[in-house]
Amino acid sequence: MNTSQTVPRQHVQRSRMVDFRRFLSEFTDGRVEKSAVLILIAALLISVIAPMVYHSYSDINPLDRMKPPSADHFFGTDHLGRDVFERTMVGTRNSLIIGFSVAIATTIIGCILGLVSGFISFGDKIIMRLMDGFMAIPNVLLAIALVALMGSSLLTIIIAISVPEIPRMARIVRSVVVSLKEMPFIDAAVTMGTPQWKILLRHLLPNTVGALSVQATATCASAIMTEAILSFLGAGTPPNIPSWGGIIAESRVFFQIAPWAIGFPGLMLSLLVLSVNILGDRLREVLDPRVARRRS
Amino acid sequence: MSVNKKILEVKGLNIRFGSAAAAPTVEDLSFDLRAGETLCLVGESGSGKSISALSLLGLLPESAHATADQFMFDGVEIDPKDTKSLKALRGEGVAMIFQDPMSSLNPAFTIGYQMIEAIRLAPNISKQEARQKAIHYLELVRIADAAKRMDGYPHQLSGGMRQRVMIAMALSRNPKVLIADEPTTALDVTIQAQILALIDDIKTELGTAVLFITHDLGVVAETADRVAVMYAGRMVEAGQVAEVFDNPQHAYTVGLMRASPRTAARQRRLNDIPGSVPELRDRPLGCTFAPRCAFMTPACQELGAEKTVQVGTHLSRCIRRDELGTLLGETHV
Amino acid sequence: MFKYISSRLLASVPIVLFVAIFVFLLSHLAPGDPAALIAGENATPEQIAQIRDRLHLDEPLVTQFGYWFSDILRFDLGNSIFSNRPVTELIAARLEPTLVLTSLTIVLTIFLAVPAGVIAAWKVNSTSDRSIMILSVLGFSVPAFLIGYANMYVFALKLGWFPVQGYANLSDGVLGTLRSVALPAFTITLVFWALVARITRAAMIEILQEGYTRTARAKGLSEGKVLFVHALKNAGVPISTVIGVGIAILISGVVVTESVFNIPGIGRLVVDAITQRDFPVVQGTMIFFSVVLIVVNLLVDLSYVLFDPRIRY
Repeated sequence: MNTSQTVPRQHVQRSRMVDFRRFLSEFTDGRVEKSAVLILIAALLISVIAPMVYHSYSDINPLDRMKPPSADHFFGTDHLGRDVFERTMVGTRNSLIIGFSVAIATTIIGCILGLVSGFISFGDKIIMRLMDGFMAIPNVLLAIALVALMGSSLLTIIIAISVPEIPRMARIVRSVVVSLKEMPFIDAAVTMGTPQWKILLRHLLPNTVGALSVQATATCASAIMTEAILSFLGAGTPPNIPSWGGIIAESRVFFQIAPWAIGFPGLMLSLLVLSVNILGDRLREVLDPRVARRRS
Repeated sequence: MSVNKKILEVKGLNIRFGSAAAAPTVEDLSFDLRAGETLCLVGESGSGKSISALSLLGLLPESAHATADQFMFDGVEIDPKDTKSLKALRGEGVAMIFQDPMSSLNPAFTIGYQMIEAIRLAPNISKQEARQKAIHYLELVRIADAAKRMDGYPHQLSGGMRQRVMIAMALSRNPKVLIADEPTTALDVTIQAQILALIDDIKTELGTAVLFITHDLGVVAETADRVAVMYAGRMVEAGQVAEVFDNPQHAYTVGLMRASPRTAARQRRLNDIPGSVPELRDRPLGCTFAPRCAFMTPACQELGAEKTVQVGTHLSRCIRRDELGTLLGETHV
Repeated sequence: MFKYISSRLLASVPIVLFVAIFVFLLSHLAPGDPAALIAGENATPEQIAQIRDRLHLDEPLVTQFGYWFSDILRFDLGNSIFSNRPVTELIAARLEPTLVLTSLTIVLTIFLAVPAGVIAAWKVNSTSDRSIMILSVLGFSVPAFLIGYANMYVFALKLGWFPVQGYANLSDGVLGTLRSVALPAFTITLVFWALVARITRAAMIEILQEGYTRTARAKGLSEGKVLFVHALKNAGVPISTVIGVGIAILISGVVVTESVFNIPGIGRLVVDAITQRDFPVVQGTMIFFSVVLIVVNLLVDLSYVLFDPRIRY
């Protein structure tokens, strides 16, 4: 069929290095994407400011137990009379730290494993079998088991959430590397005697950036979620650090009397994860030329 | 069978992408099609021939709209915007076979399923009858072991065989019109000839009207009774095959003939037509071919130069068509 | 076929072995005496000594693992610290609710997600497509427990259509069972749905541009048949693949949702075991779940035959 020729083609071949300013403007067109960026910025600001402003978030007020939302307590109070709004605001930091740390740790480790196993066939067998093994354990269970093993602290939770995410990242990097390895420009580099580490860093790594950043964003969102689930199941952030999952977990039993103590932190959590996911989706659309062409 | 019965009559067909105000991709296309004859639509890719064919079945992409001054199918007036009535034509009215036989059959279903399903769209046909009919048509297109092939899947067949199945499937509904959109382009040369012969036989045996789309003038010479040449969305010349080939009356047709390896056999080397088909928004006033034409005069680029003139059965959109013969004698482009 | 299945099962042996080693190390790497850990906090020194003996803790680590793994191969996952009952028995007793819940979830998901994905692909970039896509992002972004509580609040507490918590056994009537798992299944569906709908959409967008889709339309088939028979069968492979991949997400959802709705299934068993530090049960259920994951993925691969005749095992 000749339809593709008859319709004027606007998007001709994109250059591999996307012009950053065009990238940014393309990235933030649309109201949904703009709101997502705003929410993310707001969350960052809150996570910095809230712990400086609110100090009474763990003050127990037996007289003010399970009060519904009001002008005094925007999000109501929990079963110990603590202000849910203050706790939620302060808890933002915990979620963001975990989200970003997991995303960064997973990306670095997954990237190294993926590059090595994609490029060195000797390492491939061992690493991929290992990854298969980890992938055979459901994410949340693996994380819970790791927390149970290492005890609960901010660091152990970051490790526990990262470990189950690494195999997926490694596989993505590996698949990009494996498909690139067959490309003529890699052959050219090899025949010119470029050392392997240089090929890895100069030629293969830059080409994985697109897939990596999409996956890193998804990992960030899923890490924030997993932390909340871990807290909810009683294997999360220690109770002395306020976290969204923790607030929800503590208020579980009182759900029928004080649903706000679960609803508001849950809403904040969903909003943040939603924003990160929307940005991740957008990133995929901008970076993946196949999707981009379909939209035009 | 009345050979002369007009099955399809199209006047002033326009197809636009996007809004109704957009420049037409196909402009003022008129042709008719009679039972038992083959009309070839010829042109480069992008000339609008496939789109025109798809519009006859209501298969245009959603962004495209078709309008026509007149659209008669078998004596009944149909609005080309009315996808519903066009859908009703599919199968029994108009059947279509496509360019790439490798992708036109559904890989997930057996040949038999796909054929029986098509046949049973007609009312009151039992599964058994449909199966018999399917086998009959597979045999008609000369597929060996037809009954066994019914339970096979497309991937077990070669490209030529798949195209035969496509033809059998199209014919199984006794369509009045068969549209063949470059049905041999993707096939080996030997298979090509077989498929062309098959379509030709069927046309004479069943009295089907065939609308044959191709860019290959050799194919036209072999199959067509009449030919219509399209360039940049317009029909630039049309007539009986002999008329057009012996006495072309549009410079574009001449160019096509000189670029075609089979019709240009007498030449020492092939000539290409300089330039390329203009983009939709860059189409010139007057004759769309003028910018690439060796015989262009200022008048060619004025409004009105695109008007069609018909002499007998021979139609052309060239204002210099009468001089063309002499001009061609002088130049050896 | 048989050859393929056996070779696949053979290939999954190292994976199970890996999981087993990991789970084994879990109790042996934990700080402190594994025997004390396994015996629980209230164990007497005699009990701990008994366990040391039973687990061969005085022998080298590799030997210990050998004993332990050969037990697993004989379907002996050890005994719970709390009830002192065999872990296999505990899992078997908890199997029914989890099985009913996951089956219902998968059925609901397929019936919701596949048509949604098909419609989104059919009308790409339309309002319905965008709404379906945004809804699916929501599915990824709202934690299962929150959806669970919201469902419970609306459909159980306010409308009273379903029981708030708990599980009714199949032996007491199928209808009661379905009512008791309806909300939890719906909850997990809202999470799982997103994944399946997205893959369906992506696969269908490509398929709808294929030549055979055009052929189906040109034949005169109704649009419904074109979409849900001709196109959808070709999307069968990616859809079943994603359901297989999604089983891990499904299991996480089950673990969370069983806690929210107080359903005595295997997910609940794990969570309770973790809070009680009942290590044999944690180890046993993890091995159980990973075997389930491996088997499901094998079944998914086998299901390809149903959709694509080009695939033969």
